[in-house]
Amino acid sequence: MTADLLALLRITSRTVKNSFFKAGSRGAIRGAVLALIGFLFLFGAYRGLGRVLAAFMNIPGVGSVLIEKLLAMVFLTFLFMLLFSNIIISIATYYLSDDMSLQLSLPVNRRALFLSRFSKVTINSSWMVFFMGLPIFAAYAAVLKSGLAGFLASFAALGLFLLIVSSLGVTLTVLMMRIFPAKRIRDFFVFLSVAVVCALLVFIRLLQPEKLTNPNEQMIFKDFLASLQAPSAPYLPSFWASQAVFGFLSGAYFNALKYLGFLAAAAGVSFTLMLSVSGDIFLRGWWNSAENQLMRYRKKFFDRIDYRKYLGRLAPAVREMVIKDVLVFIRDSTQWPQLMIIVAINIIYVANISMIDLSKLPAGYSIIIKDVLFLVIMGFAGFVIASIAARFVFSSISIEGKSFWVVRMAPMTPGEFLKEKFWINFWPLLFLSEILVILSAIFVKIDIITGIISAVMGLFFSVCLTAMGIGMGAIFPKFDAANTAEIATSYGGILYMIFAIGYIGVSEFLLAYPMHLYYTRGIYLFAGTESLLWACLAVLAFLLVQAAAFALPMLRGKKALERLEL
Amino acid sequence: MIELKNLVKKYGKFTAVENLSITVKKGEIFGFLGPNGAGKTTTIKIMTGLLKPTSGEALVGGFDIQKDPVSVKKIIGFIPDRPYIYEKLTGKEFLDFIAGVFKLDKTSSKRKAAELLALFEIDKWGDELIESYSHGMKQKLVMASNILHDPEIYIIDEPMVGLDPKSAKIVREMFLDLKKAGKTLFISTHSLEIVESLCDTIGIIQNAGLIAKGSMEELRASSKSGSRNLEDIFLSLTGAPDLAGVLNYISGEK
Ligand SMILES: Nc1ncnc2c1ncn2[C@@H]1O[C@H](COP(=O)(O)OP(=O)(O)OP(=O)(O)O)[C@@H](O)[C@H]1O
Ligand SMILES: [Mg+2]
Repeated sequence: MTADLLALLRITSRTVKNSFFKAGSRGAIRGAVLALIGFLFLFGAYRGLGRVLAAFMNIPGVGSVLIEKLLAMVFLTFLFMLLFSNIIISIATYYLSDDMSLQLSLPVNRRALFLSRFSKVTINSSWMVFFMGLPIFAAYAAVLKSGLAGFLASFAALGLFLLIVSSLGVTLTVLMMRIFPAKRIRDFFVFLSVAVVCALLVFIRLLQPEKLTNPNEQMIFKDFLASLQAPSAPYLPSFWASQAVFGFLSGAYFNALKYLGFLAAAAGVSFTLMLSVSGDIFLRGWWNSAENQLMRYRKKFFDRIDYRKYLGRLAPAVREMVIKDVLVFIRDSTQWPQLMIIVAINIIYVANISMIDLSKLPAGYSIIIKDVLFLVIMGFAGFVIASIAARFVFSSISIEGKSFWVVRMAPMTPGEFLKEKFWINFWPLLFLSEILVILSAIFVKIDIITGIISAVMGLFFSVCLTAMGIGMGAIFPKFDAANTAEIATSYGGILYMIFAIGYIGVSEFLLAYPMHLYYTRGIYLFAGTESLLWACLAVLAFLLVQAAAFALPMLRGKKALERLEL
Repeated sequence: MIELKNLVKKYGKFTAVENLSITVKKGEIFGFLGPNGAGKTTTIKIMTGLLKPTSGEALVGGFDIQKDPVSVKKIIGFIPDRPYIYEKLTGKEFLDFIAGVFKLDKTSSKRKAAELLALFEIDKWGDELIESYSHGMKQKLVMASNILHDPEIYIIDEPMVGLDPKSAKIVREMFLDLKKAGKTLFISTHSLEIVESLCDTIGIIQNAGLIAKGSMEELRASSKSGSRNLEDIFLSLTGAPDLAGVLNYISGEK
């Protein structure tokens, strides 16, 4: 079995190697650019997160508890994102990949075949999170003043965590494909998303956010602390991982080792569980899905809508593209788990934001906290919008896939095509980001002016992140991707994510000073001239950045499409 | 209608098309022949604007595909060698899509779409997702979608691959009908029988360059071997296979 496994893994490594060397010097340049930008990004994330953590640590009494909470939150977010990307990638790797039937017909050990794909799934779904561990753990290590050993040990915890989630994701997929025919995966995801939403709502109730919102009164402060310290989801591996990591980095080694033990045990159990479904259960599910490709298509609710009636005013070519995009999106079952990721991320986000209530904070800190909070909220909202955009907006061109020639043969210019893609992505993204921003504003009870500014920033973010997604999607198309998750994690997708976060960082940085001025002076904003001048310059620079972030990618994207060869 | 002038296409150092010039007149069926990897698909992709030529130009319907691609695309229909189309649409929806993109009249295009599906015998599958179609069914759907928007020029890459005998016959008849209606067809194919019976002009390409061009009679006349049928002409031009070697290999002799 080991020999078979090695032989199978060699196919993958050769494929990767060949495609790398085929690209020749261009591939080498790409690699170098990606390495450099990746490094800059990780370094920037490290510095940025370090700042935020240091600011939290300055809040007396609750600092270390808050950053511990933050870590738990990060791992919880990882857990959901990883679970869904594991499911999407394993559906593609086990059930939709073309070479599966070839490999099943070869005289190789079935378990080896299963495990070779498992390693593919795990690497594809987890490597980004693994690299994100670098800046996060380093920033925590710096703030908590831990040594190299603690930093390295944290990666052991992270590795086990990744293994647990991917084994569970694969197991879940195999069971799901055994039970549900391929054509009904969507129903399954609808069902699963309702379940996840309910679970998260219960989870939020258990957190009792209202308990956390009264730290200003001395008597309740102890309660507040106690409630913060109470574990939020003690049975989830994300909690164990965050505890182990925080323990290693803060010097609480006993606690760290205890949770590392939990993780190791859970990894063993979930891996064994996965092995137990890798035989007959997997094979039957695979047959099931292969046969179901030929099942008759049943018209659903969405198919009965007469889209042409509602879109009558659009230009015909644009209208047809919109209808096609909508239908393809709805019917693509790999899109559904992605939607669930969004729902889950948003709920986690809102739940966490809802614990902060500015109006109840001690008056003394209010300016610092307002400054930090404005940045953190807009930064987090921006990050959420960007990661959603990476999955949907950036991939919306590559998703045309091998059918892209149809678009190329249509009497339509690349400009018109990009325009259609822009608008069809912009509206949903705007809707989502305004919901995020407005909910945050309401929960945090920020003042009306900051609220309006946040809403306007939400608009700018949606316009520019859509334009960047469409433009970069056209510059770095990946028409041969097996699934949408693969597009988001391709070279261009990563570059997009990095540029998007850079754009958000710069935008916020430019607004930070004017906002600070507003918080310190309130409505007497027009008092000093020099600082006001700086603030105006900053706002001007902000607007220029927005214009550039919109126009540049769209123009470059159009050029790239005109040059594109199929 | 189609004029290729000194087309060159290089992939890095490798030359896939070398100094190719072809003229196809209106109402003509042009047969494009050549061994695997000769450069047929590459030429067709340049004509349709899917690839950029390294040098040279391609005029289609009088428009330069590089300078005025949209005008060209309005008057051509393209059937690629591999019929990748939106798997998550149904056959009917795909035809609606094409009708909309080419701004066809709604009621008449609906009727025509239904007729075409029936003609190609995929009407029973009209409401099924394309992902459940077989290769030949997809091929026929792509053909139907092209005929639907009624282009002046058809550019077709290997139309017969994957078609059953009956469908192949339908397609052949259709080519003749299109010719009668004054359309111009540029067909790349390996089916010598199609070329022999349908094409007005034949071009044979090998190793990136055109090695013979003309009507069937002209090819016969110029052929050294003096052979009568296209297969012999084709093989004498492109080199005959080493059949003895194949036999030996299969029977295990060295
Ligand atoms: N993207 C590419 N990069 C490098 N070389 C390519 C590329 N596409 C095609 N080629 C090469 O160009 C040559 C011509 O290919 P083309 O597809 O035009 O052949 P063809 O005549 O259509 O062959 P067939 O009859 O097999 O379809 C081949 O040698 C092929 O290897
Ligand atoms: Mg070809």
